[in-house]
Amino acid sequence: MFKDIFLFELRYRARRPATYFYFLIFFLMVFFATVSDNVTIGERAGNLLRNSPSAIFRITAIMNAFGIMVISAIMSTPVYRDFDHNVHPLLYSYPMKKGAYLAGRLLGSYVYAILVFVSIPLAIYLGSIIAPAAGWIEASRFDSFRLMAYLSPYMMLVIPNTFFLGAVFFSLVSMKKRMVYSYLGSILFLVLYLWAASHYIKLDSKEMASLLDPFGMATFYITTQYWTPAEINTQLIPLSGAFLLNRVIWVSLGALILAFAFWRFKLVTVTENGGRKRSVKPVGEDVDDVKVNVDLPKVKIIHSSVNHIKQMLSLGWIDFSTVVKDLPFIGMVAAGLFLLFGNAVSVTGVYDGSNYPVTYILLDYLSGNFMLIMLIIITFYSGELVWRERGFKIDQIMDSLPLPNWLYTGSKLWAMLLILLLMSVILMISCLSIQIYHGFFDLNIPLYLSNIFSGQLSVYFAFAVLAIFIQTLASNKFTGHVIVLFYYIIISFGFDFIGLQHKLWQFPLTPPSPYSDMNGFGHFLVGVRWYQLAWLFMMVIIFVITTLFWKRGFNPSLRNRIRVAVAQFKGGTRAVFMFAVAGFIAVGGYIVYNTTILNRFVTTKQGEKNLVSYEKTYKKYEGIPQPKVKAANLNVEIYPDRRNLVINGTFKLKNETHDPIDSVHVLLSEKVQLESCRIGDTSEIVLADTQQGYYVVKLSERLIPGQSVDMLFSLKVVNRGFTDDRGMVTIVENGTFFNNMGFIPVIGYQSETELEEVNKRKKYGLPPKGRMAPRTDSVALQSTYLGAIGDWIDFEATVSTKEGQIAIAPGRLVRDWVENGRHYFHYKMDRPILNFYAFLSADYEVQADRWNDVDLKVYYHKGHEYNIDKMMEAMKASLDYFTKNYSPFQHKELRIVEFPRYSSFAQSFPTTIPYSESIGFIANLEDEEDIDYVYYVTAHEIAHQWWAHQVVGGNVQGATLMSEALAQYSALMVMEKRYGKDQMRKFLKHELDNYLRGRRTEMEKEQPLILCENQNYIHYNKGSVVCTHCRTILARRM
Amino acid sequence: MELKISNLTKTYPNGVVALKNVSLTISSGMFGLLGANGAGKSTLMRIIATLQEPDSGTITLNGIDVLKDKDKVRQLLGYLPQEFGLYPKLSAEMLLNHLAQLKGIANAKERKEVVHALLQKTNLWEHRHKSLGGFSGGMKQRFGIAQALIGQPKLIIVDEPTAGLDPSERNRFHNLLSEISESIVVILSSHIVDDVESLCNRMAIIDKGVVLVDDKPGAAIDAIKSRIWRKVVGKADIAQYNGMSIISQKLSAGKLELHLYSETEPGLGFELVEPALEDVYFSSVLMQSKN
Repeated sequence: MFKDIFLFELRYRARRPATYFYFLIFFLMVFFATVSDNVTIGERAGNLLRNSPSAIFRITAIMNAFGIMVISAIMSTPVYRDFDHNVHPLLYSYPMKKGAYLAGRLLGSYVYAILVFVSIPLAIYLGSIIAPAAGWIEASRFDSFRLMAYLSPYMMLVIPNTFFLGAVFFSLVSMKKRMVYSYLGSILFLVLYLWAASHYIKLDSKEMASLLDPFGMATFYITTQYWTPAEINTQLIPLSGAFLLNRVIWVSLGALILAFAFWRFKLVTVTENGGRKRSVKPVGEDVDDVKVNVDLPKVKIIHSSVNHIKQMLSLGWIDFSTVVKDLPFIGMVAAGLFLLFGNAVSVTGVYDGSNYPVTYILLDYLSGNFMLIMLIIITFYSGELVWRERGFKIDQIMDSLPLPNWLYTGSKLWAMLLILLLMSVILMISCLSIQIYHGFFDLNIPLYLSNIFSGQLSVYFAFAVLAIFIQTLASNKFTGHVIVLFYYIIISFGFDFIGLQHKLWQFPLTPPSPYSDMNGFGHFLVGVRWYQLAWLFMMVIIFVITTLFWKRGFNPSLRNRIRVAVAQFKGGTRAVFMFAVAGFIAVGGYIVYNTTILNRFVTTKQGEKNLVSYEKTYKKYEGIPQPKVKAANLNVEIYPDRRNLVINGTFKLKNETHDPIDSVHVLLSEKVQLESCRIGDTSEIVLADTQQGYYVVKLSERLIPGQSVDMLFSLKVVNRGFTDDRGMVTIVENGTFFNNMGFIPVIGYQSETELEEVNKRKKYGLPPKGRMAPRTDSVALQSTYLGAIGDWIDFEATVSTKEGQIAIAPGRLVRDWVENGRHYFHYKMDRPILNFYAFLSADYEVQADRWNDVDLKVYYHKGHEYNIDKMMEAMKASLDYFTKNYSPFQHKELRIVEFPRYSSFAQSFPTTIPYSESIGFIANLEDEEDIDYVYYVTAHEIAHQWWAHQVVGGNVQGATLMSEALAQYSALMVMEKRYGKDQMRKFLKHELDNYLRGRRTEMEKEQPLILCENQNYIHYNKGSVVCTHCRTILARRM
Repeated sequence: MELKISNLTKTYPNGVVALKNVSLTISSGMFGLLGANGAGKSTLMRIIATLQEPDSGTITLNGIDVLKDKDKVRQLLGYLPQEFGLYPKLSAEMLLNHLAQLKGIANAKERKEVVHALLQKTNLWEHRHKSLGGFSGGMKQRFGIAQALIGQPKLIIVDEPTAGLDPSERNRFHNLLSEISESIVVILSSHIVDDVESLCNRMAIIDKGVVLVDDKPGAAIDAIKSRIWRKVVGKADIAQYNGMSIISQKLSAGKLELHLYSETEPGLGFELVEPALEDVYFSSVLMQSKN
């Protein structure tokens, strides 16, 4: 009995084209990920093999997780389809054993579900053979074939994952007899997975995350988190510890659920709409005879466009109201909110500290993880809506109504829009509740409205338009779902893979528009609006096609639908379509003009090629005698409103080499226009490569050793139109922050900007490049590790900005004045500084204080007052400790200056510490258990006034030990004084964890601390631990 | 009102010929479409109801090209498909009201009146607030006819409406249909001969996609008058009548009642009977298969 049912199931599946389709899709995705350098589903390159056991494991885990849709499509249906096709009354009357029936169907489908995923190892294997053979990727980046590397992820992931996911889908749908429960199941798993994904890097929730991730991804990550690249390349993932436990938990859970379903399932055909008995009371028959002779009143029947619109709204409303009252929908929303609240209970910042739940953080959650939930809801419900009439078999009645096609498609869109609007309202209320829960009352309602209802909603709605289109053309709902999902994957990875990186290819994405408290949406929205307009036209185009192909009538064949579509393409439909096409072309053209002609559009690949060409063309000039900058006197005009910059400056150049110099190589960012450059009395620009920003200025008189000369230059930065990305985020309306690298001329060929990645270098035929020179390299020792040739300079700058903003540069403010509506600030350094400085301008609040004879200032955005006192305290404590233990402070002022969150770091320039709004300013330090990372970051940056600005390494190995490791240690000492040893231990635990995890990302070679080559995980994290340990040892000896 | 069908042909992708050169002219009143399951009735009705495309042929309704001008036809149409479902969570009144709106009754008050009248007419008044999910087959069918009557249709197509109904429900249904069919075209398909006989003033018999008879029921019966012969035989004796034009055999009290078509006296103890519509149907099918 079991055997027959099982074999029947196998034969049934073998005839379904969907099975092969799924296999093919997965095969192709994995294959291209394996053979393409542009896509990596898995580890980043470096020394890691593309088919290492870990890489195979990870690809399998990711694809298996994506495969949840396929598992749901295959495993939900074996029993459901008997109900769907009404076979059950027949079948269940047979002398069939329940167990055999369920087990046969279950196992038959299970076999196919796991067979679909054979595509993954097969694709990797074939990829690893074909890619080197075809010359796409070097053979050395592939491991030789190891059976276990392919088999173990299959055994540890595919087989158990498919089992319990399948068990859940099978049980839910068989019991409830409604497919939608399988979607609910998917969402629940996804929520668990996302929860785990956001917790596996937190020290105290790692273990929980590794157990609760149903896909085993977090578990995999935690199992291998401290592995070195060598281990990653060779070790199989052991089925032990947390991994074993995770698998046992989920497989047993699957088995339990199955057992329950087997127990509860009955081979009876009670109701046709199983599972909803409660809501539907059977109605008793009546016998009294008919009141046939009731006259039907005469009514007015209106077939007008206005009435059509009303009808459409009403039709959509009915769809909407039934969807939202549906338990699974409520379940999905609840699951999503669980995730949102779960994430937002503690808004985590650096070192697991907390941040205040400022609005943009919550909005980031919504457009991050939560987007997946929204996309799933869109995917599922667009399918539900499109197939709804057919599902309830009311299609023939509906289709023969005197209504135009657009009314049906329009009603689906309207229902979808209502669902999305409802979601938006729920999300906004949830976010507000989270803020209030945290006692955060700076509620930014307009921001919510503009972000949720205009930004996110329009993207989601566009996805819905597309999903409804796909469902209209798909042969059934499940195929539709898979194609929609496939599209999501394509726009997430695929377009990059084929080089179509411009967003105009990637309907319905728009350029990013991060919100900053300081700068609002800044310049981003202009571009976004144009893209939205283009997508609006695109949506009309898609809508018209959907309408033309709307499935109306009894099983129309494709040929018939095409015929009908062509016949209907006339009159108003055609006019609307043509108008939309014209609109799209016009707006698209305007976008192309702005993003590629007014601005440079560079794909990743093009960017790499530019670097290669830079190196190949100019590397020959590396190390030729060049003068050093000895002094800089700059006149910087910042125009925040137009986001322009004009700089006139004078450098004092000195030939400190032993050879005469006849020409000076001047480098700039290609975004900067060099208006003029004169060195000495006369000189000539003999090479002006504006694409690379490489200029050669020939001197009229050679600069002999020891001689100095003035270099006068004038340059400007002009931002026009809008870009396909964030554009220039260094010069913005409120919160300009740029440093001299790129914006101010640099002298001589810079090897720092060369293409770094080992494999890319090989691919482009560039020689391997060490990260840093050995400590004995006398040429490298000529410059500091900060790169730009030169050492100590005299610095003076006049910075002007619009009235109402404060412009800042390193140095003492000599005077400021207002002239012609502009505010001028004259800064001067009283002692030489590194050739490394920054300019900032924004509408700041200022808090001032003093420490001995040093002026302390914090420049901050109004509303970000939370931790200003803490910063002041940290500044003073740091100055105390460092002056006492190291040396006197070399300046008379020290300032912290906030800048927008387009970057999130703090950086120490002489006297001036730009500090991102996203780190310390919004930290919530109320919990005393948390590490006070504001204190730490502040102390660290101030320590750089010593470690980097007083003692600085040459451009050789180990240089960052002196700046970063010692700054880290110094910050720890300041922290320890304030918070005690326990807090420090806690901090060091993080440091150790970060160091060990950091090794995993090493692209080239892990260096010893003393020879570290600007490797973050070594000079920060290992540095802290080692320095503290040394201190303990030394203290013990003394 | 006149519906004119000419040379309609439809072949399904799997090779089944559903309609072959069907031509019919149907005027006001009730028109019965009689045929076995799979004879092509539903295909024909779906094509008239604008839900399917024929391979060739034309249909006009009062001059409107049904195949091209679907929208116009739909404005005149009431359709009750053979198989259909309803949204289980909505109440009868809600869905009917909704459908009335979709049929173009824009005025809410008028709509309400119509819906109430229809609910009373179809005897669903008592159940108007109940969820459709709990409706019995008969109630569902009555709901189906109620929705088909919305909006003063000029052409009503009901496909096997009495399938699954008990006798009293069937009667009720028939009354309802005959009442409305006076000034409009009602096409009713059935495989039950009695339905057609008692309701329709014209009918067609269709088999394997071909129209065999297109006549008034009475005239069709008259046409085979004195050609139908009857004999009751034992089951075991049936073999000896092989080769004769037996049009039907019916069990009657354990014995078989044979009906035979013959223009002349067949002998063998067959006696002449008054033909019924059933005999028209069976004899025409038999003739067709002989040709």
